[in-house]
Amino acid sequence: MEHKEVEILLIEDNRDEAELTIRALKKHKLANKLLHIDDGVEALEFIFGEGKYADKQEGFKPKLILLDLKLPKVDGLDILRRIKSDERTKKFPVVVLTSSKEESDIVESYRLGANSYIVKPVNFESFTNAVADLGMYWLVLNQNFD
Amino acid sequence: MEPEAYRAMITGLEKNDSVIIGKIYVVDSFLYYPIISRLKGPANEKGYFLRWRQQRTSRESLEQFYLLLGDGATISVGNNDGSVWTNLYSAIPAPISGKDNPLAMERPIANTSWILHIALSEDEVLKPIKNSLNWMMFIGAILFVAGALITWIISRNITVPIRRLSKAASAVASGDFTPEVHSKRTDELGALAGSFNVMVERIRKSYEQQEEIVQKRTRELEEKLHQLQASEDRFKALLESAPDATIIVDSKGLIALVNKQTELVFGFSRDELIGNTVDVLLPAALRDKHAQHRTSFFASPKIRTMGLGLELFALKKDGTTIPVEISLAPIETTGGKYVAAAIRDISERKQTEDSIREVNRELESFTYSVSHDLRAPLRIIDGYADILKEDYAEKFDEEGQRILGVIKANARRMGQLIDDLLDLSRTSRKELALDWVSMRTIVDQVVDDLRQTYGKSARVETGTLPTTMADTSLIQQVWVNLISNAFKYSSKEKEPHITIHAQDMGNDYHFSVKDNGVGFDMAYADKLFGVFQRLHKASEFEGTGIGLAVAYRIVKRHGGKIWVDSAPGKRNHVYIFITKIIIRNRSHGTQRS
Repeated sequence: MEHKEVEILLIEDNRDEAELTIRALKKHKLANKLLHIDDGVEALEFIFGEGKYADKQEGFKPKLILLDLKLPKVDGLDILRRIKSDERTKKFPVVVLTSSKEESDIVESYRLGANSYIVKPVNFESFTNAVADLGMYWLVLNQNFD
Repeated sequence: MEPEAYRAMITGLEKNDSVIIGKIYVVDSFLYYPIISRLKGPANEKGYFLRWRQQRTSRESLEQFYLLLGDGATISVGNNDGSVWTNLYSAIPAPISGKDNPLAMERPIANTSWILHIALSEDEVLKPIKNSLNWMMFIGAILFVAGALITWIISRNITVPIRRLSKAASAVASGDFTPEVHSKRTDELGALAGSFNVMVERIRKSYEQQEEIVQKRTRELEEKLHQLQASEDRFKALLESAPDATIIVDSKGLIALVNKQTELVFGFSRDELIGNTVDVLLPAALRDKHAQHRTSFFASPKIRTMGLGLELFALKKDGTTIPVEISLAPIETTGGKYVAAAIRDISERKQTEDSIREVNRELESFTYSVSHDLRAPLRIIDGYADILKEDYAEKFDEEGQRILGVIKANARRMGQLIDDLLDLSRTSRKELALDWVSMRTIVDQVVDDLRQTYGKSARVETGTLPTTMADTSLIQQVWVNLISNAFKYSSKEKEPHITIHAQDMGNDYHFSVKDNGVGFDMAYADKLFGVFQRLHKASEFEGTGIGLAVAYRIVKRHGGKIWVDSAPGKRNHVYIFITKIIIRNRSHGTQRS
């Protein structure tokens, strides 16, 4: 998939979790242009066209970034901070998708500019519905910037 | 002789036969005076005859004349020029008259140049007056003597009893109540004496009573003094044996009293502290603040803990500071206001607290991990079981499907347990954010939400609910837990009925949630608020058994209490909780506790 074709960027270190998320989106035909990155550092390189993505950043305009907070090396809040403090990327819609119900995480995410915060329910059915709803909103209903 | 004189002589002669026409003259001690007489013929006057007549009056006739006059009067005749005076017997010196003798009178004798002088004797005239005057003096003297005598008698009659009274009064005044004034009189003085005696008797009685009272009071005072002494001894013994360092300080910050423990805690000897300022026990940085606080304490003294919610430090003699906890109590004595401070060295407790805090931090990071790390695999189990169910349904027989169902159900149940545990942990850690909260609004919303799950079959009756100070999200959690229990336990009834009430108890509100469900045995009531305690089998009512434990902690953190009231026979189920009405400007203590 071409760099600029990516509509949904899923940043999640747990492959099984990622698979379930992708499956939920696929169920509602929302996962066609989805890219999954399981490493925080790599995710940053991808978003800002650094490292192995050094010449590919041009044209990346995601409709949604799904971000897990608990990542090895660089955690989700760091990634969120980078995205929202950079002129080029701060308009990217970022939805924090996490198992953590910690209030401090929620507060901090919104403070840094997260567009939404979803606590992943244990119940898979509820989870599927939640993911489908937010995918529908950001990819279909939301009028994107330019 | 003047012609006028001649005419007078002639005129006089017209009436009388002879007329005295001159003055009296004295010749050889005889008195003579000229006299003219008419010589008449048968037809006419033959001429006038002029001769000197000697004045001759016999002594007898003169005396008779004087007797006629009476009152010692004298009569004398003299020439009007005063040259010769005679008493008609012989020549005499000129009598005194005019102003010099008010009893004399002079008149000219008509047709003569003589003057008649009549004088009354002073003695004779004043005699009766003098007599009456003498009489009056005599009577006056008698009256005076009699008056003096009467006065003496009367005064003796009055002054003696009065003197007696006065003497007796002096005796009474000096404290001698024995004298009695005897009097047989029936007048005012007698009455006075009688009254005096009565009065003395009364004074004596009242004096004796007074004396008795004074003695009684004295005895009581002695007893009280004794008790006071005993109480002071007890107080001192108590103070000495008190487990805390106890210091009594006056309003100026001077130490009045310390106990043994104070010496042990601070390392100062008693003598070094008493009379010294309390500042010696304070770290230098706190001294100014302490003086301010002391002033405000004495302004409204009441028993309280010093520096509520703050960490307090005290200074030891060796210069080290120790964490302390101080309780203050005002002492009001006649000698002034004091404050008793009980100071406890909490160094050990602080260490324990620190280690507890450390453990808590670990627990927190543990719960964080649990929140994230344990939920994720559960969701994956549930998710993959779902995939199996959806994508490989035809490869499972009925038993296989049931087993998949069991896997999913247990994964979800564990997820729920974890969520509830995290809720519980959060309610314990979360800072209270107090605000005015309308219980009515919250309850209405909670009931609406729960109806989504439990349906409309239950009748919910809500009384008047107040607005109180509380943490909105936490107190909402309490209502959710209690009301959902009520829905849950009454759900198997034909007519589920839930009542929610508040009762104003003055300082507190009592809130109650009641349902007509199965109830439970009160013997287990104390287990109800423990974590994972359930009084029903999971197959009867679902739930993790954490809801009431959460409610318990939240209510406790609001300074309230929660309890349950139920009897299985009566088929009811009541949870009652109270929260204190927390007023914002008094909220410091409550908020920190």
